[in-house]
Amino acid sequence: MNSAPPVLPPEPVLAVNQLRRSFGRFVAVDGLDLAVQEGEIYGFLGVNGAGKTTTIRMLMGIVAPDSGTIRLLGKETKRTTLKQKQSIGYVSQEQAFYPWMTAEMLGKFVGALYPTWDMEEYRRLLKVLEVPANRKVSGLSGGMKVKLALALAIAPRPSLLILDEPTAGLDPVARREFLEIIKHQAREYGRTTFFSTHLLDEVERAADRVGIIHRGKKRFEGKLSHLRDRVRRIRINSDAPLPDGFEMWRELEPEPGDPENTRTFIIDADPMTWAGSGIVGQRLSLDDIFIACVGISTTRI
Amino acid sequence: MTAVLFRKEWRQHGLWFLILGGLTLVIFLLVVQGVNQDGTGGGIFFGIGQALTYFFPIVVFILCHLLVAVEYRSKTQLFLEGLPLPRWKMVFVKAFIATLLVCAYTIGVVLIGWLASGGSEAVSLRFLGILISTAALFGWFVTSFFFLIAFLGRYRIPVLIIVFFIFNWLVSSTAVPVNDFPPFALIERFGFERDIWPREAMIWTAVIALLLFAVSFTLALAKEGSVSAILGEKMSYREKMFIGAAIAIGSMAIMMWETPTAEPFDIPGAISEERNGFHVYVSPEGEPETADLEVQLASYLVRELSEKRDWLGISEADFPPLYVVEKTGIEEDLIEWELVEGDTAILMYADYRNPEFHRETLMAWSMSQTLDSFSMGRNGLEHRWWIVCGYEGLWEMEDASPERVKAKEKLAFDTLEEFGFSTKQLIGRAQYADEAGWKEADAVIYMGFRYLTENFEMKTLQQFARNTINRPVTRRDGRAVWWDLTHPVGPEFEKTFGMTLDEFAGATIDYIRKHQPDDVNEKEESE
Repeated sequence: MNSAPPVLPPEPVLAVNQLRRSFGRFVAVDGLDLAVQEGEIYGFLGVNGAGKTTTIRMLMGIVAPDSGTIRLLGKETKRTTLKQKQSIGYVSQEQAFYPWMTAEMLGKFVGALYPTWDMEEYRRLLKVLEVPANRKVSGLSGGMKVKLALALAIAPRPSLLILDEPTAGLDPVARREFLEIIKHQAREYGRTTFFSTHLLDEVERAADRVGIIHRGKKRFEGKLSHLRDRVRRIRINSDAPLPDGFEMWRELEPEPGDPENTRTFIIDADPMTWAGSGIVGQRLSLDDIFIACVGISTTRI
Repeated sequence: MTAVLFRKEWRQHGLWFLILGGLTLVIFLLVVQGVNQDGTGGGIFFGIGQALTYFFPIVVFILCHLLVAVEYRSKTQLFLEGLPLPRWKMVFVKAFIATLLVCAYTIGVVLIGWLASGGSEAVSLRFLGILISTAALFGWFVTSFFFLIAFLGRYRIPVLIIVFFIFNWLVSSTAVPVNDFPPFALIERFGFERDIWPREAMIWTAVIALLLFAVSFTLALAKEGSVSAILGEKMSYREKMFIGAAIAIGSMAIMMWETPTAEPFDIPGAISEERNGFHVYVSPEGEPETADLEVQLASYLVRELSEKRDWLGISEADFPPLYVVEKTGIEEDLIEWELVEGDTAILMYADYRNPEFHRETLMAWSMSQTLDSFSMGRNGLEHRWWIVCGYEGLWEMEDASPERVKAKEKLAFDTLEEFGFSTKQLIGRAQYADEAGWKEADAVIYMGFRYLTENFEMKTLQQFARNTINRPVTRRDGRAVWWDLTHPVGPEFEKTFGMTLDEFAGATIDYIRKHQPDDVNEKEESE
C-alpha cells in the first residue's frame, strides 16, 4: 500500500524572521517573527509607537532592517525589491497624494508603475467607493482619500495588501465600510491582507489571525478566539506555585476587597491545560487581554 | 517609469518652469539694458555675466526649491516611496530636469544676447562657444549647490545664510582672491575672453558641481522614509527667532571685526611728496648722488594728479597713493605698471633718467591706472575704457611739443587709413587695439577727444568725465555699479554733448582727416 505524501504546511505569503531595526538608541523593532498565510486577513495590533509602522516600512522596502530576513511572495530578501513591490498594494498611514492631481490622474500616474495595473478596475473601484474621479485630491475628504488609496492599492491586482492603520481618522461608518471592502476583497479574490491597527474591534471584525506587537517585540500571534480561550485571570494563594504549563503574562496589583494572602495573575495557557488543571479562571474581554498583553496596569490607571 | 516621473514634474511645475524662464529673460534683459542701452561694445555679454552672477542664482534657488524641497515639505515623497520606484530614479529625474532647464535658460539668454547685439559685437564661433559653455557650466554649478541645499530640509535657509555670510566675509574682509578660484574664475572674464577657453576653470567647476550632486544623491539615497518626514518638517517659531537673532548678531560681528587684512603697500626710503592728502613716492633704482630728479618728478606728479583728481571730483579717501619705481631696460614708452594686491596703491615702473622719457606720459598713465583701480576694474571694461583713454590722451599731450603732437596726429591718420574707425571700434577699444595696436587705437581716440575740446567747453568734458569714470567702488559700497547700470555710456554721451556716438565717430574721422600729416597734403596737392 502506497503511503500518502506528507502534507506540507503552505508557504506563507509574508514571513519575517528576527527582524530588527533601531533608530539611534531606540529599538523600534526587536527580533520580530511573524507569518501570514495565503488568503488570510492578518491584523497587526499594537499601541501607538509599538513598532507597527516601522515593520510595515521595512516590508515595503522604505526602511532597511538592521538584521533579520523578510520573505515576501516566496522570495527571501534583505530588502524588498521593486518587483516584489509591484505585487503589493500598499496604503500608508498618511495619504500624501499630490493635491493638484485628480483621482483619474493619480490612477494614470500610479498605473504606469505596475505591469498588472487594471485601469478599468480602478475606475470601477472609484465608482463603487464613491470617489469622484475628476475632482482634485485637495477637494477630497479624509475618508475619500483613504478610499482612493485603497482603490490605488487594489487596482494592480496585487497578491498582497499591506495597510498601515488605514482607518485612522475615519468616522465609525467609514471605518466599517472600509473593513467590509477588505473582507470582500479577501473573500472574492483570495487576496492576502496584512493590516495594522490599534483598534481591537477592527481586528475582531475583520482579521482571521492577529499578531500583537509591543515595544518592537511580538507578544502573541494566533486566532482571536484562541486568545480568548487561552488567557484568563486567576487568583491563587500567595505561597502556591503556578501550575505547569501556565505562562504568567502579568501579576495584577491587589484591589480593595481582594482576600488576604492571594495574588491575581493574567495567565496564558493551552485550553487543554486549563481543562486538566481544574482551575477555571475568569475569562477576559479582548480589551483586557490586549491591555494585559502590552503590560499596561489598569489598577494604576 | 522615468517618463511618468518627467510627466509628473512637468504637470506639477510646468507653469513655474515657464514663468522662471520668462523671469530669467526679463532679469537678463533689464541688466543688459541697464549696462548698455545702445547694445554695443562688450555691454551685452558683460551684462549677461553680471546677471548670471548676481541674479540668476535666485531663479535656480526657486527651481530647486520647487523640484526638491516642495516634494519633501508636502510629504508627497512618502507617497512616492511606497510605490515601486527606485529612489535614485526620483532624484535623478529632478537633477536632470534642473540641469536641463538651467542650461536651456542660460544658453537661451546667451543666444538672445547674441541676436540682440545685432552685429555690434564681433562674435566668432569660438567666442560664442566660450560664452555658452561658461554660462551653462556656471549655471550648472549654481544648480548643484542649490540642489544640495534643497535636501537640507528645514535647515536649508539657515545653512544658506551661513554660506552667504562666510562668502561675504571671504570677499570683503580677507585677501582671499575668490575670483581666482573656480567656479568664480569661470565667470570672472565672461564676455571679455574671446579666444582662450578657460579650460582649467571649466574642469574644476564641473568637478565641484559633480561633487555637490554626489553629496545630494548620497543624502537622498541614504535617507529613509522616516528621514523624509523630518525633511518635511517646518521650522518652529522658536527656531525662526533664533535664526533671526543669529543673523543680526552675525552681521554686527562681521561689521565690528571687518578689517582689511591686506598689508598697505610701502617702499621704504622712497622720496615722497604730498598734496591735499594725495601721496606720491618715487624710488630710484640704485643710490644716486642726489635725489633731485626724484623730488622733481614727485612734485610734478603730486601737483598734476591732485589737480586732475579735483577736476574729476574724486575725493581724497578714494584716491590711492602712487609709487614710482625706477626701472631701466623698459622698451618703447619706458613705463610699466603692476597690480598691487588689494588695490591699495598704484605701482608704476619708469626709466625716468632716460632722455626719451616723458613725464606727462607717466602722469597720464598713472591717472588711467588709478581710475581703473579705484573703480575695481569697472573703468577698465571695454565699454568704458575708451573714455579713460580719451582723457589720458588729452592729459598726456597737454604740454607736448609740436613734434609730439604731429607724430600723434600722423599715427591717428595712418591707423584710420588702414583700419578705419566706427562706433563699434570706439566702444570696443580693446578689440580695436587688438587689430590696430593699442598706441594706434589710443591715438585715434585722442583725436576724437581733441575734437571735443575744440568744440565744447572744458566744463562739458568735465561733466561727462564726472558722470562716467569718477565713481569709486569700494568693497563695502557698490553704488557706483548701480549708477553704471542706470546711466549707460551711450545715452550719457548724447545727453552731455548733444550728439550720438555714431556722430562722434564720424566727427572724429573728419577731424583726423583735417589734421592729416603735411606729407599727405603735399602728395595730394601734387596729384
